[in-house]
Formats: sequence, C-alpha cells, structure tokens
Amino acid sequence: MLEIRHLTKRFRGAPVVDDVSFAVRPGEITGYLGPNGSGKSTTVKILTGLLHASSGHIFYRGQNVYDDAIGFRQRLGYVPEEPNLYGYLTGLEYLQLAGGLRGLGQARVNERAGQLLELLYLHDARWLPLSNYSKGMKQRVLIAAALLHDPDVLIFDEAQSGLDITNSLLFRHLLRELAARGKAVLYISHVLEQVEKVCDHIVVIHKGKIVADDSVSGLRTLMQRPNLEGVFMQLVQQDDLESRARAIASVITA
Amino acid sequence: MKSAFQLLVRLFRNRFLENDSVSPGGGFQTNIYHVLGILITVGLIAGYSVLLTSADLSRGARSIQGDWMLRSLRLFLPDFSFGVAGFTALFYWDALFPDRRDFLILAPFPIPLRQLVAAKFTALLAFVALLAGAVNVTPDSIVLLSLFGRGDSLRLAAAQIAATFGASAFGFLAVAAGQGILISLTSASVFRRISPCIQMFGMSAMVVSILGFPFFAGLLRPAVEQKQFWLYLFPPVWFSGLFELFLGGQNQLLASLGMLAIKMTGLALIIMLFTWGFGFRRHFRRTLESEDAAHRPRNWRVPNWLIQSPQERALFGFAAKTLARSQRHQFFIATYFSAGLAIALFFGAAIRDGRIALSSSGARSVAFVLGFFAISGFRAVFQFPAELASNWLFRMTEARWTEVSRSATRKLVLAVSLVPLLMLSLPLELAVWDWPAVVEHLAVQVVAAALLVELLFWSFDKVPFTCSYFPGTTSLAVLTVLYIYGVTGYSFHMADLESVMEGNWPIAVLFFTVTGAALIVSWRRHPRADGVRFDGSEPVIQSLELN
Repeated sequence: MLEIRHLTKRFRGAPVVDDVSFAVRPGEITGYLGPNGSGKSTTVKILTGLLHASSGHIFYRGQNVYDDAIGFRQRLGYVPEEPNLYGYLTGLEYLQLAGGLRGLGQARVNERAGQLLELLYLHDARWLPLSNYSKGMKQRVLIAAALLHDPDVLIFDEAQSGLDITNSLLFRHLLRELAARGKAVLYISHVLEQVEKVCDHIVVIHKGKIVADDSVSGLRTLMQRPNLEGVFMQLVQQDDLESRARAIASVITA
Repeated sequence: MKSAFQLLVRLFRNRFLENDSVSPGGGFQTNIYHVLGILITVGLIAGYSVLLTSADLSRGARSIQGDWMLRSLRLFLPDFSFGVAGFTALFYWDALFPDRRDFLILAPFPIPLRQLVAAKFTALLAFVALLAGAVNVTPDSIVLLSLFGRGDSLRLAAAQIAATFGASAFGFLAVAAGQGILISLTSASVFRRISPCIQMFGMSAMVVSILGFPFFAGLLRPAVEQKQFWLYLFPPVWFSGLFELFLGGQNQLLASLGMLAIKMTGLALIIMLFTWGFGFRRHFRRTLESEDAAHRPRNWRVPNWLIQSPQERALFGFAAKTLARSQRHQFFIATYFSAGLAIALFFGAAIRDGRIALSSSGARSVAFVLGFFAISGFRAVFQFPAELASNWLFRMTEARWTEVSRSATRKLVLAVSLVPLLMLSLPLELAVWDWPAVVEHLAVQVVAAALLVELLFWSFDKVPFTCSYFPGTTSLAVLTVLYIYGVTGYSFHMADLESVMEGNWPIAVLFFTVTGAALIVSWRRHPRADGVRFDGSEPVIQSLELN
C-alpha cells in the first residue's frame, strides 16, 4: 500500500498542498480529483520525486520512500500530465531508452516494446519521430513506457487526455485489468464520468486540502447527490456556471 | 493602431532577434550571441590595427611589396564582414523564408500570401542593414577619420564602405538566394533533409574564411600573379578588388574582381527576388501538405564489450542520438571544429611558392589541435539541454547516474571525436611519414585524447543534454585565456614529446607506462556520491518567510 501522510508543500511560504493524507491500495483504482490549481499535480510530482515535500511522509509497504527513493521509483510507473518527450526520438527508441534507464536488458525491452506498441495501435508509427505524433499517440507512448517494467504502483496524471474513443475505452479496461492484477493505481482525471466508472475510491482535493476521501457510492450517499458530478460541485463550491456562461456570451454580443 | 503589414514585419523581425535567455532554454541562443560578440570585437580590434598599418602604408611613395601588403590588409574587413554575414544568414536559415510554423500560425488569419512574404522580405532587409551596421560602422568610421585631409579621401571612403557593406550584403543575399533556388527546385521534405547539412558546412566554411585570413592574405599576391582559380571562388577577394576599381589601381585582375563583386551582388539580389517571388506560393502549399514518411532510422549497434549495463547503453544511445539529430547541437560542434580547423592551418601548413604546403613538423600538431577542439567542443555542447521539459524521465528513473554517465560520456566522446579524427588524418599522415612513424603518432594521439577526456570531464557530474543550468558564470576573458593556453600547451607539448620519443624507445615506454597508469587510476575513480544535478536550487525564487 502507498500511504501519504500529512504531506505539505509550500511555494514562497504559501501552502499548495496542505497536510494531505490518503492511501492507494493494491488492487484498487484511487481517483484523485480537484479543480485546476488545487494541488493534484504537485502531490503527484512529490510522489514521483520530481519535487521535494516541505513536510510529511510517503510510505510504501510500510517503508519511508525517502529511505530508498531509487528502489521506490523502480516499482513506480508514471504517465505525466504533459506529454513531454524527446521529439527527435522515434516511438520505439523512446521505449528502448525508458527500458534501458529502468535496467531492463535489450532483448526484453525490444520484445515488450514491440508488443505494447502493437497493442496500443502504434506499430505502424514506431519509426516516426515523436514530434510527428498527435497528442493521443504521445499519451499512448507514455502509457507503454510506464508499463514496460511491470511496476507495482501506477500513477496516471490525465493519461486519457487526447485519446480517441477507442483508445479511451481501451485505457478504461486497462486500468481495471491492472488493478485486478494487484497493482496500486492512482488515477487523476477531470472526466468525472470516467472516474465514476473505473475508480473504487475517490480522494477530492480543493485549495490544497483533502475535502473528501471515500468510495464513490459512499460519497454519493453522504452528499445526497445522484452522481459524482453533483458531489464534486458541492465539494469544491464552484460558481453558478450557467450564469457565468451567459455572461461570457453577453460580452461578445454586447 | 499598426497595420497588419507593420505587425507582420515586427513579428518576423522579432524572430530574428528573439532571445529567450531569461528562460533555461535560452543558453544556446545566448552562446551564439557570445560567439557573434567575439567576432565583432575581434573584428574591431584587428580592424583597428590593420587600419593603422594600412593608413601608414597609403601615405607617400610605396614599393611594389608595400602595395601588395596594403592589398592584403584591405582584404581583412571585407573577409570579416562576409564571414559574419554569411554565418548569421546560415544560422537563421529556418527564419529567412516563412517556414511551416509561420504558415501554420498565420494561415488562418485573413492575410494575403503576398503581404506575408513582403513583410518577411522587409524584416529580412532590416535585419541585413542592422547586421551590416553592427559589423562595419565602427571600423569604417575609424578609416574615415584616418582619411581626413587626404586628396583621394572621398574615393577611398567610398571604396571602404562599398567593400565592407557590399561584402556583408553579398554574404547574406547569397545565402538567401541559394535558399530560394533550393525552395524552387526541391520538394519540401528534401529541402528539410538537406538544410541541416548546408547550414553546418556553410557555417564551418564561414568560420574558416574569417580565421584563415592570414593564409588568404599571404596567398593573395602569388594567387593574383599566377591567376589562381580560387580567387574567383572566394568573394572577400572580389570586394577587396573594389579598392582597385574605385582608386584606379594598376592591377587589372583585382579591378575586374571588383567589378565581379558588383555584378554578383546584383545577381544574388535578382535570384533571391525571382525565386522567392515564384517559389513562395508553391513552398506554402507543399510545406503545409508535406508529411514525413516513416522510415526505420539507422541503428548503430554498440558492442557489448564496450557498454555493459542497460543503463549505460541507454545513456550512451540517448546522447549519441541527440548529437546525431539535434541541429543546434550539431551547429555548435561544427563551429568549434571549424575554429579548430582554422587554427590547425596555422600550425600545420605553410605557404611555399604561392601555394599551401604541409609542414612536416607542423603536421604533428594538427591532429592534437583538432582533437583538443573536438573534445572541448563536446564538453561544452553536453551542457546544453536537448528538451528540458522531457528530463523528468531521467529524474524518475535515477540510479547512480553520476557513475553510469561518466562511463557512457567518456566512451561516447572518444568514439565520436577520436575515431573520425584518426580516420581523417591517417591518409594525410601516410603522405608525410613512413608507417612506423604513423603508428607511433596514432598511438600517442589515442593516449593523449584519452587523457584530455579524463581531464576535461573530471567534474562532469551530469547526464549529457539534460541539465537545466548553464556554466554561464565563467568570464569570457578567462575562458579565452584558458583556451589559448590549453590548445597551445596541449598541442605543442604533445607534439614535442612525440618528437623526443621518436627513435628513443626507453622514453616511449616510460611515456606509455605513466600515461597508461594515470588512465587506469582515473577510470577506477568513483565519482562524488551526491548524484547528478539536473537543475539549480529549487525553488528559483525563495522568500524570506517573515510572516
């Protein structure tokens, strides 16, 4: 189990992530939700070691990950929010690089990379430079790179962004399959319908603080709302969006 | 409110002058400005000393030798102006003509295509004027001041301005015209594929044309007397011929070359206007329609005995592919190497009977000079990131990168600098020496290069092309002094040592034993344990947190 305990990150003294605690259990998909700027990506960057926490701890299987950061990263697969890739490498070369950096032998990397590219509908584009890939194709390369080394913990930060309908459905099935095989999955998304369909557990962050941590059905019952969208709107206290949309239209037609 | 045309001109002008040095990715751009800054400063200083001598020579009666000395000196500023303008035009090759990015961004707006190209052309002319002014105004002003009170001052001033500004304009226009021809004749994908090669070789040639001035100056008199063909291929000589043309000098060939300068500048302008005028619509359509075909890139297999661990293989492959595919890194290396080539010319070649000849003693140091510039060039180019935002992969997977990177980097530098150098210099050396001397020379070269790599990469605790901070705190003056001492010390001492070893096997055995032991000690050294640094301190702005 991946446990986040009292995690805080301050930028220029202001807390962006404030005393955040939750757990990501093996065999479960944990949804991590929040509006833009609420602290989701900062939390993820701390989990992946790209940022250091101001305070708090992260435990994996009861061990502080900072005690063996490299060991933890070896068990971690990560798909970042932005598809930042080396554009001059081909899709296959990028997977070879990622596999090599993870210490996988050449033959194993080539075999797995070939299979993953085939299954993710990227086989025909394997020799194209990544700069020529569409956003959805880049996302699929990132998904393949995150799975290549058979990690125990997976973090998908807006991983379905840019995916077409087929690949979006494939990704949803993939999440369930990975969880069924005992992986701990942390899934960040703004697509509430998708989250509602695949996640076993939901954590909602707003202005850096956790405002909800329960199962989807538990949250619906607690908040007395028919769906996750209603729960989410109530939790993060969004404006009256309909009147805001009317105001936007009025600006340009006035 | 500015018109659409004015806005476009400003947009294109800013693309020439854009400097993102405040962002981490701006380091390379800043460095190119440094290089140009050095060239301009060198031109100013050298121009000043050249002008003093030429002003002295132009007074009173002169001998024939004095006349030729003056002609050689007058070659300098056109040579310098041409080299800087040509280098800059090649550096901005992608920005000369509206490119795919321009078309993609601007095509949805209601702008006629001819207005877009006219705006680009106006911005280009403004940039040429700015560049020619920056390079030529100061030295030309010194000349004009030195002419005060002379009888032929007006004609001399006109010749000076025409020669320098003309050389700048021709350097730029010739590159733009060449691009226009390629745009008109080739497909968009062929144009994209050949462009980096043209840029790299062109920029190298421009650097050699500037730094090789002493050779061209020394060769001028015999070349003119023997009517050597290279005079017609080297534009700075044409522009120095303008002095002869304007001042009514006695040398007919130089005067005719002066006339050739005027004709060729006009021709370059006409070709540029013609090809741009006819080519832009075709280029616009084909640029937007073209797509890269997927083809399997060449994969060089690195033998297992050279690279053992998957991580080292991954870092080696990443750095090698970045070098092979990143244009800006290639340009940087090409600039370094061409500077080395020009300096190697001084050490290794001599002018005999009006022609360049290889000196046997100098040939010994040529390989060391080239090796020094190649290895130090790689040391410098590894500092510049390939794609900063993509570095997360290395940070996410970090596992003893300091040690792995040291080993991969060392092997890569030796593979991409030493191996091609040995292959290039081998025929040359076989032409000068017998084979035992060549074998000895190659062995010394290998050991010397390995030692230099150890020395220059001693504190290199980074993964090549991934760090977001630059070594920008070292003073340029200090760096220049270090380079002068480095290249002369390394090349001369190694060449001297080699000649001492020749036929003296106890010293040769001692040399190889000592250097071999030093290399083994260095290879077995473990790097610092604090790991690879990918960026500077974080966060960049730190508050005092007083509240």
